[in-house]
Amino acid sequence: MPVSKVLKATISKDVAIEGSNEDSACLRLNASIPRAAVFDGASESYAARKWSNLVAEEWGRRHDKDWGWIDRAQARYARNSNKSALSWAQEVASDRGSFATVCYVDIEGEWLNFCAVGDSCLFLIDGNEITFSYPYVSETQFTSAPMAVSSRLDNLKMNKDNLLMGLDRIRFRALGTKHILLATDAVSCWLLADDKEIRATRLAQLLNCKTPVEFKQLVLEERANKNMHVDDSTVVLLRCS
Amino acid sequence: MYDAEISRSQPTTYLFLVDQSGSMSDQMGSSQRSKAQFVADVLNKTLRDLVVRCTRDEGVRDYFSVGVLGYGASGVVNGLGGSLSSNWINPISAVAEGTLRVEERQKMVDDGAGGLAPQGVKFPVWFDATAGGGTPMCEALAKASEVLADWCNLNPNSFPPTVLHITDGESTDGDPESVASLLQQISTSNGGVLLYNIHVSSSGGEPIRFPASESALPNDHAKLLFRMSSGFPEHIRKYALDAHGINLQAESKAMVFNAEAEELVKFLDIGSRPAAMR
Repeated sequence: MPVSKVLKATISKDVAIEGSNEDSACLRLNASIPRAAVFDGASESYAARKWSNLVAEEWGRRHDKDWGWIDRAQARYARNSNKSALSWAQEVASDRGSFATVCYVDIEGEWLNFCAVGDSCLFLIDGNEITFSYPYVSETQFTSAPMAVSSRLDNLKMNKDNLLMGLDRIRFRALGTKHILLATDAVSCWLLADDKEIRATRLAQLLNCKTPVEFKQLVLEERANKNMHVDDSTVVLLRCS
Repeated sequence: MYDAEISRSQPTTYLFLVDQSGSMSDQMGSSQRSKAQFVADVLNKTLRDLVVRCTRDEGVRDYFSVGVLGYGASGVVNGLGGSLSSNWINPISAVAEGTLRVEERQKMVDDGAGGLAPQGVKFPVWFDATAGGGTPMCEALAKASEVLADWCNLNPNSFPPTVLHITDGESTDGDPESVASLLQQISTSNGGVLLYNIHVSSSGGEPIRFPASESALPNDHAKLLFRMSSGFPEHIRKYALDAHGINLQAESKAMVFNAEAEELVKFLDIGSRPAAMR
């Protein structure tokens, strides 16, 4: 067992609105190839929470090299949509589809196989230093319109192209990796501060969070200080043994 | 400034000011339709886009509120009818419910065989074309100030209101410059009211889009509209470039003169583009 869970935590952008969190996370550390993922439903899309949850569920059900999880998520989304019950506005918005970013990692011996579509990021951490991040390396790379996987059935090929483009792998043991972190965009952007001292301070603050409550406190403080974007924020932190 | 995130607890507002004077019944450039009819269609499409942008599977989220002030023969009137007529500004969820009717219109789509085929689309209507009387622009701007001062008091930290003003002529009730200046001084903690002006043309003259200087403008009316217009926040400049290939300078004013159909569509699309929504 090469990795263990340290923290899986999330906080909504609107803490006062129950059920408003459109992020999802999934851990399968007991699988033959242990894996973890975070998904960020795009708030401006129609059913971001539902789509993000479906993608996470189907990704969690997949077998080792199974690429069918995104197809199955799309099929389930389509089956659950009853257009006859929609208002004119819901019909138009529904036709535009729902979107979610993807960031996952498979831990296969010495190798990490990972994939990112959009601005949720993977970090490898050695002590108090980020030694590797993917797909972004700087806070300046975060844009208002990241790539995403779509619920629309006619976007099936685009989804697969994006997932294939987002694939990469690295020998993580060679980097002295102590922790693997997955984070949705608000936390990722905050961590990738261009100022090295700020980056180190923030990483230390995050690694000090041992519980979801501590993570929520940190996010609320950083939002209040205007250091972190107010957005759904989710992390999965794994320790490499 | 102009960087507040838009949320349900901190919404923003769009107020459309629509000239309904007699000259709006003239044809729009080379179009067969009147300026009033064309403006009504583009405004209805813009309202539809704002509603759809806020629509989710659980319902319509109130990221925005919206008002339409018409001005012409009857002075300044609420441009939205039915259930929306009792408030100058309505939350977008009420706007979604408050259509006058939903028409079935045709749009041409790819038929999969190298041609185009008509496809029915739902076209909600909130605002009907009307034209008559003079151009009480000062009264309209003053009413906008009154309505938005109340709104800013209720939403002191929100992204400030955006006023999208569509006109085809000169004011008939005085010089609107000072009234427009007062309107732009109304503010939230995130900035003053943004006033965007578009002059629609029936003459087909060369359009002037988002000028950065008053000196090159062709006449006093164009210069007046320039002075009445706000600059663009950063997110709007970025959107204009990304979506329409329009490179707005830092000094560019939110004004189009002698606009034809295409400019009006782009103007309302750019002007109603919100900052970050969450």
